[in-house]
Amino acid sequence: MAGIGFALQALSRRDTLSAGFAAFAISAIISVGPWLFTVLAVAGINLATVSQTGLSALAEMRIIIIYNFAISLVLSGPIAIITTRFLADGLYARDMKDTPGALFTALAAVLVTQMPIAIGLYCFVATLTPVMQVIAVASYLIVACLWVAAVFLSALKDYVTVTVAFAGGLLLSFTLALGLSKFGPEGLLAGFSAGLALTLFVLIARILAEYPTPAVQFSPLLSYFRKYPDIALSGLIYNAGIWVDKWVMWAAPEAVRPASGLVSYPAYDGAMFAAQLTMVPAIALFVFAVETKFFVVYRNFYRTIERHGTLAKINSAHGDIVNTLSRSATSLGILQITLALFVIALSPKLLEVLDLHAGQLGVFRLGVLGSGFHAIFLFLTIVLAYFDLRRQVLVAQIAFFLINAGATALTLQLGPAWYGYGYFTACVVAASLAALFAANAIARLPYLTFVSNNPAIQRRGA
Amino acid sequence: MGNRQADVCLLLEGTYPYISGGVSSWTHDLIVAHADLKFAIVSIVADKLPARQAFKLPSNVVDWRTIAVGRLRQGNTSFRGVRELPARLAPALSAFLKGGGLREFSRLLELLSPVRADAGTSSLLNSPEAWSTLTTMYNNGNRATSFLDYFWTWRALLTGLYSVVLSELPDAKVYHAISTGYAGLLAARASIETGRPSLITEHGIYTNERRIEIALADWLHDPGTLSLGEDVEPGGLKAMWANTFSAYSRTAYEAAHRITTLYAGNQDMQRRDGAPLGKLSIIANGIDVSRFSKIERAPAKRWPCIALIGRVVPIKDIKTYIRAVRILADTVTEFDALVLGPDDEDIEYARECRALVEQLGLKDRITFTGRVKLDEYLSRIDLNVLTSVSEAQPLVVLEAGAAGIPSVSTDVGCCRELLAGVANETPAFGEGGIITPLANPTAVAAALRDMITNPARLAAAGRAMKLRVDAFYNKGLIDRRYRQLYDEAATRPECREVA
Repeated sequence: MAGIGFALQALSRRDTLSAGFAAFAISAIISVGPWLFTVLAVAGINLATVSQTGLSALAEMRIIIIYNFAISLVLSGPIAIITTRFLADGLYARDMKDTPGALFTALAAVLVTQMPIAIGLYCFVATLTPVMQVIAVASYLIVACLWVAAVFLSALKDYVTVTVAFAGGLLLSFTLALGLSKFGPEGLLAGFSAGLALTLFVLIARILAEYPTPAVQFSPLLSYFRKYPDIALSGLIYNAGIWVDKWVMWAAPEAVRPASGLVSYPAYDGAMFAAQLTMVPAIALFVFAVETKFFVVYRNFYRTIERHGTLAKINSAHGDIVNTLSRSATSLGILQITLALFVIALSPKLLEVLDLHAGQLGVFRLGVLGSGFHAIFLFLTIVLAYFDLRRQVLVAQIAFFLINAGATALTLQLGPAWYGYGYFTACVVAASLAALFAANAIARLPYLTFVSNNPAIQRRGA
Repeated sequence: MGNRQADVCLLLEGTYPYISGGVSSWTHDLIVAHADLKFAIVSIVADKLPARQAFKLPSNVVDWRTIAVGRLRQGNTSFRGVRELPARLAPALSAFLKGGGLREFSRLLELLSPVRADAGTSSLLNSPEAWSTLTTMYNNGNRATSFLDYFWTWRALLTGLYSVVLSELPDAKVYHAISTGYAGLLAARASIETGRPSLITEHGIYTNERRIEIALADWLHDPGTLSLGEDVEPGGLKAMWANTFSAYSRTAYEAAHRITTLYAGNQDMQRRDGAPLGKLSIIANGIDVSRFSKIERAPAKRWPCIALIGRVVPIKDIKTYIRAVRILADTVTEFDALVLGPDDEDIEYARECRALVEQLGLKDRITFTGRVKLDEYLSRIDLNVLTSVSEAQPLVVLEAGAAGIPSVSTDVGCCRELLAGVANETPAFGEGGIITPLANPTAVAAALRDMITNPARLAAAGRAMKLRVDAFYNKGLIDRRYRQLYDEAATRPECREVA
């Protein structure tokens, strides 16, 4: 029999259109958790520092903690985000037997890559006592492992354990730090790190309790770096973008340069950390909105397609997505604007409460305004992640990083009156860019889903 | 292999030289038989290039290329007219896929020829403009269909169509497609573009085979139904596939200079698909008559021997043969029965057949020989039996016939023609055996008894078969008929206008 005609059925194989992006995007929302934790911890230490001025021991501990949080969040970011993606795919495929293997692989990857960095920083760049060097390096590694371990519980949607472990750990950290304060900065840092170590162990125990498979086999996790280099880069760039204005500002003439060599600029950092806390209600709102309303219309869109719906039904499900997103964006905008205006109006009073001084007012106000756009930027990148628009997410994040670095450097040249405009500009541009990408993508969602972002088609290539 | 002009370009779908089988062997023999002609070959495959090649190309093949109809190249994303291209193609495309013919296909070629170097999946399938064409086509007549399935069907159909339209063709004097479908469409395109004549030879009828496959394709989510032998419900995806293949056949027939098939039964289906009567002719498959006719028949100082020659597989319906032997053995005691052919292709079926032999108490009557040299057995076979449920033109009836052995055969393919002669056979050679209904052991047993208990009838039928095969199914003769077709077509002046 001559002819192949209908053997073409292989072509008609229906590839899944939305392979597990939802799980990844949801975890990505929760990944703002570590950053919030950082902000809270640093803000807490700031308060403590200010109230006990003169304790140079506290200042030294504080700067090491900031360095640990900042550098480890950025440099372990690729491992954390790749792990998030790996777990999301596992959840989607309902195959989690690799989880303990992935946990140990991820932790090993963190230790192997971060150890040289921590040792280099605290033993060679900074000037510390040998005991402090050991504690600082250990503390750095605990924090770095914590970011990755938290990913597992976020991916498993165990928000309660995450919150309780972090809150309890932080409380213990402060308590132990104060208790050990008679041993100087070493005692403070050791106490603080012990609290974090406990948090880490609780998280690991919780993960292993959930997935008791033996972890002997090596996990295919690392192959994801080759599979999703863009996601790995995203994890690095976004976290670096959050921190880069602070790093640039550490070059300011007003920065504090202690004998340890660990430079910081508490006036700027503190104002920014406080300002960025205004994002918390917005983040809470959109975690709620995304998990409830948006996810329903999102899932309905893909289900309509996969359950052989007509184009008219698909278009109507598409309309629901557009409506839900614009409503969420509107309420997010209103909330953020109201909050920003409120905070700005009250800022002199707030500064008092937060124990910031008047010189920080400008930075604080710009930080509050910037945070409004930052929240919108975050919301939009998560929406883009839902539709697997990784390239657009990466472009917006790179823009955020570059502008935050470049514009902040420029304000440094222009003088103290301009401090804070760098971060504000970066947030406005990144949010606008993400809005442009999201509007464009969501307007053409059916085309995007079937053709331009369909792995089954793009993979076939030439 | 140079890029010289070939005498004949063979357009082959899903067969030679990758896959072994009847049509592939036939193609190979055709090329070898015309050793003085230069052949170009276009092999059409589904998706990936097959890893293995079943045939070594003879030295007179001067050009060989392969087209994968499931895989279109990407092409350029920007060139003159790229944004308007899908919308300009849409009306011609709809008209063609809904059952058009040569005229609609020519219009498509006209639109696509200027962009042949640039067009590909990027511009024709994946661009936003192509998407809007897709949704327009969906809304015009398929708006109740599953869009997901429509989407993949649309892409698969267009990928196939465009890969035929955009591929490079060898230069040849005559284009000869060994089926309709994509091969026939390519022949039509060659004919339109080069002005050289195209020929079509169909072994099985392409649209018929596709309709069966489409009807059986339950992976396609389609509320429309397609039952065998009936027309398709309009509007569904199965209808879309069936209409497309009909359009390809119609186009190929309309463009062809001559259309041949193996036997008259096929011609009815060709005409139903739009083949003009004046172009049709029958060229049967031939065999090497001298090889079989020189086989010495052993003197009949033994029991008569009947044989089924063929693979032990369900389509040959060996079980009907076994049951017929059982019925025959109830009234005739003196005969032997053989099954000649490999039994390792469908092991489960072969096992069932042996169990049936045992159960019917025929262990001493029926012998399974396995794979054998046919020539050695033909000298002691008196009657050939064919119980197949489907055949086209079974060579075994001809090979036995050339050796002077008549047949009892089911009424499949052209077996009736082979045993009784075509309607106005001249000279009339007479009966060469008996035709039976399908899957009817009683009828087969009766026919067998009529032949083996009547030596005069048996001998006369053997003589008739020998003469008929020599006169009409001699491979030398058949080769000359193809040669005449080629010569006639090759000397035709170029003719560019189309219907």
